[in-house]
Amino acid sequence: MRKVRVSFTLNGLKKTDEVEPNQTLCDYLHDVAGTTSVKKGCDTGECGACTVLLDDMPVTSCLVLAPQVEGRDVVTVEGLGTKLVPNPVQQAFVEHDAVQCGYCIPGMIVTLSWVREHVPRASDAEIKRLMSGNLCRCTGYLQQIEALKAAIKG
Amino acid sequence: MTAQKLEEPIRRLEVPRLDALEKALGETKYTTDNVEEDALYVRVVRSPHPHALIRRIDSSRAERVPGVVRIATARDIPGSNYIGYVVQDRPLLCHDKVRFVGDSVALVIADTSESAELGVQEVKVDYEELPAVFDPGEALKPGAPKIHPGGNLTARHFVRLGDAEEGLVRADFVVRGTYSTPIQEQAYLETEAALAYPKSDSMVVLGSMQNPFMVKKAMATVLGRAVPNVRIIQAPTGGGFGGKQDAPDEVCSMAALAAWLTKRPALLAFSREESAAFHPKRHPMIFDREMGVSSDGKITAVRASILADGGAYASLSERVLFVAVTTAAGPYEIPNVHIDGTTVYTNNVPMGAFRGFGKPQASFAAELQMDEAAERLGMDPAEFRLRNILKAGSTAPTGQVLTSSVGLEECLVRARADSAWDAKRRTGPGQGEKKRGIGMACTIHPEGLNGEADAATASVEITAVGQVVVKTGLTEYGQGIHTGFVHIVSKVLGTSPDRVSVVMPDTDVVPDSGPTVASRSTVFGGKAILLAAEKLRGKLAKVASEMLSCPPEVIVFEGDTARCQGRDDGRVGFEELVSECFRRKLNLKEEGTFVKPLPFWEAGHGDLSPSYTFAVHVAEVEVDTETGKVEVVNYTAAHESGTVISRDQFESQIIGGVAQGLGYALMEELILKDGIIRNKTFLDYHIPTAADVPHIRTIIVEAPDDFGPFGAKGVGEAGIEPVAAAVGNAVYNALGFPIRRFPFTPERVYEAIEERASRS
Amino acid sequence: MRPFQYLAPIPSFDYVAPRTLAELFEAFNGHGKGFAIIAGGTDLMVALKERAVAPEAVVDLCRLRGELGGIDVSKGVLRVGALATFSQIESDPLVRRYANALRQAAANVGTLQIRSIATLGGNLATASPAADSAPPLIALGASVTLLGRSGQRTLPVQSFFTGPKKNALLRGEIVSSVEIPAGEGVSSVWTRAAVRNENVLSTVSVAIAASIHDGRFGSSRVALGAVAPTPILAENSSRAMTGSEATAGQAERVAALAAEEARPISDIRASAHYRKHLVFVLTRRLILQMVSEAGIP
Repeated sequence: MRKVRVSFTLNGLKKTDEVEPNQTLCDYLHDVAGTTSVKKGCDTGECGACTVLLDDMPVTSCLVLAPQVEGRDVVTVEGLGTKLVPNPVQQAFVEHDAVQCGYCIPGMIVTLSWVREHVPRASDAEIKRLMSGNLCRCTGYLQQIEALKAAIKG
Repeated sequence: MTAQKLEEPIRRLEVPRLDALEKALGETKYTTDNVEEDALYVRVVRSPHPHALIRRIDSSRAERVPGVVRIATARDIPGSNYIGYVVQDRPLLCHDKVRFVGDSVALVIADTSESAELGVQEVKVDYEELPAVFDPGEALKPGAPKIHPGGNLTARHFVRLGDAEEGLVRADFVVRGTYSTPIQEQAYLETEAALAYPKSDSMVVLGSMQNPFMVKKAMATVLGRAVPNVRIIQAPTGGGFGGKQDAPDEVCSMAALAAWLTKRPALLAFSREESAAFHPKRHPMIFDREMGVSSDGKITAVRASILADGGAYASLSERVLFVAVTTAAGPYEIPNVHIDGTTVYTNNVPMGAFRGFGKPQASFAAELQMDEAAERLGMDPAEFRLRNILKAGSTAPTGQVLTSSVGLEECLVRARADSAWDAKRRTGPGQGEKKRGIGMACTIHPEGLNGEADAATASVEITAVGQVVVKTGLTEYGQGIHTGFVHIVSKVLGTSPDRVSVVMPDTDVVPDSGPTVASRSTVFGGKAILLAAEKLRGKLAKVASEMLSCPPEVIVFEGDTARCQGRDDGRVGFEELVSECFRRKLNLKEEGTFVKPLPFWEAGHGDLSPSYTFAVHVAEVEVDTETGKVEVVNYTAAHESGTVISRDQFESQIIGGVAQGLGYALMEELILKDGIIRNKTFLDYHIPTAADVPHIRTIIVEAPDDFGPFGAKGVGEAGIEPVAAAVGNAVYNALGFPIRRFPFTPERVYEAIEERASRS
Repeated sequence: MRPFQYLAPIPSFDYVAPRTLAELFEAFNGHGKGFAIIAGGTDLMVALKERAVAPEAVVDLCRLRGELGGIDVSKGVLRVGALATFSQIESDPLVRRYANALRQAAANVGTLQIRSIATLGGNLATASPAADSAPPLIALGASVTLLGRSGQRTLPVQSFFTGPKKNALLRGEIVSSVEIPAGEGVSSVWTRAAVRNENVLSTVSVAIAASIHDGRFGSSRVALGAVAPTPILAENSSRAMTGSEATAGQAERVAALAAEEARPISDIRASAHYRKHLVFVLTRRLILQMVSEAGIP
């Protein structure tokens, strides 16, 4: 089938590419664009490991077709911070022992960075509701919530 | 609702996890993150039948699918097709028959995953269906379909102490019950994956795994003499929980077989549903249990029989059963014990290792029955436990006299106090449709491989520039064990943790330290590393003593320097000291080996381990008696694991274990119908989300032990072990009657309430 | 059932993203039967991966937000565009004011990530018996507007569903908007039962819309999800509630009728018996909640 030409922004950089129409955004980002932080945990939108920001809203990229990003803004965890300047949530995750096996972490940090940015006054219950689309099997989540709250406080 | 840090840290983590920042930045490369331009994709043709003979495998159509490079069947295996952790009963690729839905029959190797998938659909397997058996009780009956040539019995184990018959007769009353536990799926977020690279006379495999040396052994079996050298590199691994104890043996062997046949790199990665269908799960078990109690609240005897469904292949069933049988009496002084356990083959998905390894099941039956007995006595369950609990010097129900630290009583006393147990038991469940309950459960965890000899070797070396490098085959898959090793080494050598690194396990580089299982890494690996580091310190001390002119015994290592104790005048920096050692041509590489000899075990009693860890958990629930929904509103977990090496990581292990246990208690149950798993994906196999985990209060009871490094014990598993039982007892307290089967899903709890109401 | 459905990769198709409604209907025409419509994609993507559908073209509505999006009120009608996402619905002040039950349901659909892209039109078009948005719309007496090449037509939401995963859309038609009567004095509530607290399908969901005057319910509608081949209006229950006294005793009676009207199946998620029981419990609780919110002792 015909490839589709898409122009979009990936982690702040303009990008134009020819994508397979049947490719998921998750597969495109991971296999083609080199943003391997985008993890596949279930491929059906339940685990949240592939969460990215699409026009500043968290989405599970396994449920988005690559051609759908035309003209839009995509941010993965690579776009949120670097070793020298980590994002406050990334830094707080390290300081609060919120990382274990790490596989859910990029998606979790994308979601929680969004929460920090957009819902900084969220109650504990609201934080839990907003992060419930990111499954973590190792940590039990509590250190991650602590980390988020520390990052919000700054 | 956050993890509360109750006390000032004893040794607060100064070192963040070695890999935390890299993981938070998204830089960590798991197996499938490695792009290999010319890699082939492997997919597995799986059996749709629970039990069938394979008449013929016709791959001719599949071979013609564009992009398909090769189809591999059992015939293509150069070595032995049979691998298995304890019993070699599982074919890598089935050739004569299949034994469960999902059994591996052939590999399709193709240029793209699309082609491989199309190829899978075109492999025609002619099956002759056989009668199948799914119930472990049925499987043992005469005339049941025979799954393996030797029949359907996988293993039996037993415990005998005193005279249980007599103990039950002498009791003032006996409580009896049948308790059942569900199949739990590990549900690690990273599914199984392996990437194999063929070399001229060797095979290199990178994969997600717990035990590279076990994988190496399995792969050598499969490839045989065809490939003289196999090298296994553990990639960063996205969770294991026991599920990656033996499954990677097969996943890596399949990738290696594909790479060997095609002479090209080959990637095998499972989808979520394949992962659920393939790797061994937590055994469902049925306990028929009776316990005799005297009117003064002493347990006189426990008699129990345990039946475990091991599924189609043995995996670790025999070992899991041993642990369930030997912990089934609970952590109590019981003079008369009679436990029989059986694990059988069925045509269900195989069961095997999962964090807790038989103890979550045993604990559920034992601890629920404790509360039932307490109710008969009219005694508070905490009080009843205290009258029977194991202490230092007690004889365990396996006949072993406990000589190491036993902090169980302190765990109970503190969990009781911190959870406001007494007040909440007095308050009672309340009057409305939502009832409150509070429940307690204990666990006992023998250190290391249970009832087996155990040993670990590790090495520590110092480079010319003063970097300290630790090499061990023990793997990091989220527990934080490598960070723990850094703590140990930096403490022994008095260096900053930044100097110390741990090499990613690679069978060509690191020594075999035994498997990364059974909460053994801190104790066995940690002690081996400690021993190696101490040898290095001895060498450094000798040189330092000459440089500083004081005897080696008084050399103190701290703050990246060596100095003489009691003297402030001279000190030598670590790097300078190391340079001096190198000038003197000293070898700064040492190995340490720590051995636990084969414990005495005979005729149903003996020793399990020189050392045990303990925990007491208290769960507080609110039960909606109209919908059956159970909400855990508060949780307290008190643990005694010797000395704590890193308080933060210790708490993280407990909280993570409790969360997994809450899933087991409340919602996790793999449902099979005629051998087909009905809830393979996260849509219907529910694990806890953040919204399901309550406040968890952790209590650390330190009781240093002379067995592990600095008196430390393991902590990986104990966190999950008593959870289902604690929740079960809380539900019991809320409702006034026990539910002897879990998970406590809304419908199951509602059914129990309804049934109770219709009976009375 | 196939024991194994490998989820990736999806069989290929042509991707089209029309910029105007005219282009949209042109695209439908060009692909005969073999097209699928994608809006948020959260249902379609899973169906594609499971091979439940294998279209030759996927037609994306994303560039038609001007025509098919938006939330507004005029002439006593709250219009929610088919492309409104659940996140938009959840935080919209008009929805909060006129269709509280819809807001509650929207906030519980899937996860934050799903709500970010999943649309109301998509949720209705998928026609799952458990669609969380449907009972609030049915209770609120909403209608759905379907748009085709030759014009548009309007149906009550409950008539839009014709069976499990079946709807009244004709070939070449799309859901364009939902119209909800925006009456003052009508309050609406929604609740559900599920095996875990978030990120989970509802075992049963119930929505009720009613007004209360002088201690009596005015016109009332009770709607149920996940207990029949489609989301349903519980007619007997709604009739019994309308005009009845706002008391605990009446709540019990109305709830019992709703449970009778439920025709659930047993599956791995719940038994029919339990689902019926939940309808009773949830309906009664919602009515009691409305009574207490109205300040009736």
